[in-house]
Amino acid sequence: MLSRRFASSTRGFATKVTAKEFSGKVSTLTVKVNAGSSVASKDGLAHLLSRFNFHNTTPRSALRLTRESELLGGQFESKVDRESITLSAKFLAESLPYYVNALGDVLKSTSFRPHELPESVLPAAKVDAASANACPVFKADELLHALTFRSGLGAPLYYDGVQKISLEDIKEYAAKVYTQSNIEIIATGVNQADLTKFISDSVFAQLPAGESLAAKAAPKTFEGAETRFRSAGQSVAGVAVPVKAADYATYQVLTSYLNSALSTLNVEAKFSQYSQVGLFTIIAKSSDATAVAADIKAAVAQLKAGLDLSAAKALAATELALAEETTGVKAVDVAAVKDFKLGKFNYVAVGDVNNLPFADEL
Amino acid sequence: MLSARSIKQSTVSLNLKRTFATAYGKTQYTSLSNGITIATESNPDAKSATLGLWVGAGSTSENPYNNGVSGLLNQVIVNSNQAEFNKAGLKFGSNVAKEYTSFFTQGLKGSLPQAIELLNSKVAQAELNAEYVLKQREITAKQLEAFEETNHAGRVFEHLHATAFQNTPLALPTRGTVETVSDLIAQDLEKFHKKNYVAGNTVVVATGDVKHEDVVALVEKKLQIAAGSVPEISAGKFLGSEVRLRDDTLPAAYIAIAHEGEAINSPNYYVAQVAAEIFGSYNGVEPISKNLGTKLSGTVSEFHLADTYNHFSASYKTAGLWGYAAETSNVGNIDDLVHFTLKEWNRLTISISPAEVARGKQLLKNKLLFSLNSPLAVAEDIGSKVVTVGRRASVEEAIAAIEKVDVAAVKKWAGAKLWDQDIAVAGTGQIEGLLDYMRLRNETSMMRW
Repeated sequence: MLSRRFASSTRGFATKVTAKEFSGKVSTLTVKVNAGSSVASKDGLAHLLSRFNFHNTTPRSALRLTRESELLGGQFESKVDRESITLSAKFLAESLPYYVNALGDVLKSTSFRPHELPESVLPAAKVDAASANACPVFKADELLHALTFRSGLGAPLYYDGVQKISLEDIKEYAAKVYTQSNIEIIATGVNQADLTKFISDSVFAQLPAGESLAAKAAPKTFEGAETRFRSAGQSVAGVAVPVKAADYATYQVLTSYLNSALSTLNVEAKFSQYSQVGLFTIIAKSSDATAVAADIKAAVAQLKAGLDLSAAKALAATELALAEETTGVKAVDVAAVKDFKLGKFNYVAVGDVNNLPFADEL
Repeated sequence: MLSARSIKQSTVSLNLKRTFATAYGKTQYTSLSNGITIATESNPDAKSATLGLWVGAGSTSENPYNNGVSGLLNQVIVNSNQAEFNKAGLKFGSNVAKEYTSFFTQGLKGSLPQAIELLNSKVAQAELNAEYVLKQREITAKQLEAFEETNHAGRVFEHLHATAFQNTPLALPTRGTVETVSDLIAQDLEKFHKKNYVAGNTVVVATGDVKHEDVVALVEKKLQIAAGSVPEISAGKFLGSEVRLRDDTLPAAYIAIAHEGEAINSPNYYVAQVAAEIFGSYNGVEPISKNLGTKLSGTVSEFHLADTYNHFSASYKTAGLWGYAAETSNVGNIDDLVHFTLKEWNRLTISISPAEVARGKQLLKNKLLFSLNSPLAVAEDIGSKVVTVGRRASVEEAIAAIEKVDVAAVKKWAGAKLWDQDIAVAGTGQIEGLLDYMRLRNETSMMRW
């Protein structure tokens, strides 16, 4: 979102609190916890904890939270990604104290009742995993992460039942990650002083101090690997390269270029940016595997030969500005970007693998 | 909650402070002598500028023989020129709806002159290549085929319009059908363009990092749209009726039921919106669905009567639809689903409570404010309303109107529009259990309560 005033404060307690002020009526409150799938000790643990959020807490039942929130008109959700669990709420500005307390209670005093895991959390988590894995592009993305990072960022995003997870595991994980030093609070459309006051009076201030679990160094990455996964439905071929933080700008422009009409290639590019490392992927997709094979071969050939990216810099600047408006992530400067050449990469084929090429055929 | 007083105060403070997209910047309008309307809402905090043309030429401007021409024309223009916009650092997007079609660019402020030049040469003065049209026609036909085969809920919604507004322009599918699109040639598109892309039928909208005067000056200098007034379109007319496309090979039943709703300009527009929000939507896989504060969601959740449902109040220039679309894999209990739904709708007339109305109002206000979350969303709201009905209610006006809705207003509206009134029904999938029309129609009222 766009900041009129931007202020940040860590006074008083260890949680970083950031507020961006503007005079609209809508406010958002986001709690970012360094507890995504790359942090959890068991695969799927982060996903189950995220799905446990907004269930019964000691001071407030899930029913009461839903009904009270309906009367205020607000919305809340918990999402998991590879680095974090993000709890967020959207509401009219005057409801800020309510949502500060509601989100604080979720972190501090979720009840973790035994029946909730099998009756409510697991069914919802299984639907998430099943609907995501039904998409061959998601499957390819997962496999490319696994090839590139092996563990950590390479761990599966959603619970798949391979590793057994008990209620105790989830409780322990919650106690470990929901700590003052491991969360960051970001609010938009609220006054910094108000927010700091509400938060220091709320249960957020009663969370244990803990320590930050955020990645502090770039993880080890692997290149030159490939894997194949048979499945019915659409076919996908994907190529990925790990990206060092210094090269982010180049890959932003490359992503804009490949996804725009400036490129004649029939592939989709995606740049997943993490705190210490990035993963750039290109994906060819079609119900016809031979078309996928041709598309991915053409793309790799062109990228290996080298690309002049200067034509896409203006478009990338626009896309970054748009992203900054919606996500608040500061746009990187793309002025110095020149060209790109593909070196070693990881490769995945999903779908009708008999008709998809191997990495050494690209 | 907002009192009328606090709204007044916030309006005053708006003059002192500009706001972000959430978004109550003032919309400024200018009408040029040639008939083009310019509407802008500037926001100096925004980092991008959105500029677009909204043209009153959607599927309601078509006839059964050229159905799909607005969508195909839109695709041809966007796909053949995307690269040129991208070269200039602009994102070029579009939208096709029943009553309008839009072309918009997103870019940095400095690119506005280029954006308007490109919109002029590529949209207003569009030149079509006959061969390229044929190629796009094939792609569009494939997309429509995929829509028919995979998007069952979307298909049911189109059929609901087709039966409810039969023999009026609102009945035509938004993007046409495979059959109608496959007959179109470049001359059809040119003819449609010439008739509809005229000054009186066009609104230029700019939002974000823009200044009204700059936009007006640019449009005056650089946008040449043929003179002409809004082509006449006959009004939509509701007819209680049904269409069933039973297909037992699909995994679920997809059903939509609707009463006649309200037009955009109707004084009861917000009453109908609140009434739809009172019942809201439901998604069975989310744990929160068990806790929602409506009787209907409680019944549906306890007996698994539906997987999802979604109440809507869809409004157009001359007509509207009020109802819901549901999807259920529990195909043996469709009669229960429909019965409990319609009995709840009955309650809007006879026993809806103040708490339910207050909850619906609050949810609607938030939904409205949440939806205006980017310069493009604001532009879409302004463009679609101004081009169809000539004006757009400001956010303050909308909130004040929602505030005014009370139990008496809901009961009065529901008594006139829902109680013992005809319904339109559309369904596909395993709908053997969807009772016949008269059984459903009889549920719109009850003998005692």
